[in-house]
Amino acid sequence: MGIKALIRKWTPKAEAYFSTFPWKNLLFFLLFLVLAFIFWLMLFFQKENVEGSYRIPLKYTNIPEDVVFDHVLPEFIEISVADNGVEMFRLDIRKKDSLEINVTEMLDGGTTELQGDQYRQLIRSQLSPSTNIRGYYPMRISLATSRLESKELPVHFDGEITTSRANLVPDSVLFIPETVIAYGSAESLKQLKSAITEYTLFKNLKATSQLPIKINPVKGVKFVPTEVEIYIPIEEFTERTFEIPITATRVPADLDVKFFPSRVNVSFSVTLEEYKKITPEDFAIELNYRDFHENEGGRVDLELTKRPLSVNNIRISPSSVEFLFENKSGR
Amino acid sequence: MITIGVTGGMGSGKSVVCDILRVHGIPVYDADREAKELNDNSPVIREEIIRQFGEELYRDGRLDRKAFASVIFQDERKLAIANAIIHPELAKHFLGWCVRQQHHSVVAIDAALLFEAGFNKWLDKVITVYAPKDLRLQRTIARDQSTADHVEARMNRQMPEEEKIRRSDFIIYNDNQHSLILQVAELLLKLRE
Repeated sequence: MGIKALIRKWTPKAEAYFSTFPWKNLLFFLLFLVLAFIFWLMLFFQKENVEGSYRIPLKYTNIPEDVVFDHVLPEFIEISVADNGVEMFRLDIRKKDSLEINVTEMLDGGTTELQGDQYRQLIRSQLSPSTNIRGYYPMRISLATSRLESKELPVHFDGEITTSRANLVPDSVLFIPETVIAYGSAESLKQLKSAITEYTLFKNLKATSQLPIKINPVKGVKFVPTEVEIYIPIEEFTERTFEIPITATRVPADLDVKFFPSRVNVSFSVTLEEYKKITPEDFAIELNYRDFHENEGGRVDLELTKRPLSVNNIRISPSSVEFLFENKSGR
Repeated sequence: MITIGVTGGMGSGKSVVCDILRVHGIPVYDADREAKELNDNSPVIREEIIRQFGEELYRDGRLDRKAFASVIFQDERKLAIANAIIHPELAKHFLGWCVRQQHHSVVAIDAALLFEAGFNKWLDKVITVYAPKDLRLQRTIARDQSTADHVEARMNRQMPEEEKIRRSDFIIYNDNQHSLILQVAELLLKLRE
């Protein structure tokens, strides 16, 4: 039987039942229930000595950077209090603010352990003046610290930066700030040479970007700050190719060397700004006779001996050439 | 005197092979360069080109190559006419050059369109310089600063490599795996045998 059919079957019966329901009686009952609750509350508020237990969160502020706590700090305290009904009711419904412990203030005042009157006064600041503190736990909070060594470290990037097709990262990335302070034991700091960032992938960047990046945590070491900004310069680039001759140096006077081919194509990426400034004369492939004259197969690999700093992604085609020595005296 | 033709597709490396032949003391006739000279300076070619395609193609006594190319490469018929004007004159010029090189035992001609122009008729041997298509494409794109599509379109208009190889006497492999110097040296030994 479908739902619609069930509804059709039971609706008349429900209507019949509710038409005979004693609504008036129910309303009177609810009214008197509310009145009873109000009278109960009034009695409760008049009570002098109502007890209750509460949990108050602890918040530690102004913690010096160059220290580490000798003990684990509690996250909250449990308090047992007593007061009149009204105050207890207010305490019940009020949101519990954190109890703030200003660590620097405590340590500067010579307090390494929060206990006794100082502690009670701090707790009392959360309560009404009439409230009695019956008990609290923990009964003391140790603020004992050990001073850490510090070391300034340069930030190094760990990750990958990829750009969209026509863009290039022309210079190294920069960090702001460039260095961070590492705090830790002498032993743990000795091994650290730099503060490495968390492995981060910056994909398909289209424009110069400045983005936040976290320092990778190291056990037993605290970095300040824990996050820096990475500046990634991006410029639009274009491809260019020059034909460059191959030359040989330190060739004995009686020999002539010929390369096949004698000129090769050097392709590279360059920013639009630098494009017009670059000429073929900025490149050179000079081979030292002593380095290749005994090469097996009469072939030598090519590399640029001169190139502008502003170009990237250099390719030489072909990457190696054959060579022949001609005896000048034999001509 | 032995006459050899060196041919091959775009980017195959004909000019490198010809450089090696020159090192061996073999004079090489550069058909492309000589054809350009003849187009500018041969009265026979000049007269025929003007008659067929108009005198506006010549400026300051020289053929406007870009304009000429745009006329003949769009139309198969006009291309055939242009070849019919230039190739015979080039062939005559080459043969005249061969006569002046009689003191050499071997001479060579570097001609990309060697078979298409029918030059193989006057040659004793033909060498095709072969490189795989991808390598030829890469070399031509870098050399001509062109795009892959443009270069490939030009390659597809030329005689297939397989056809050139079939019609040749020798193949030289310029694929970065074989030594060109050695291959040329072996070839010359065979020729002289």
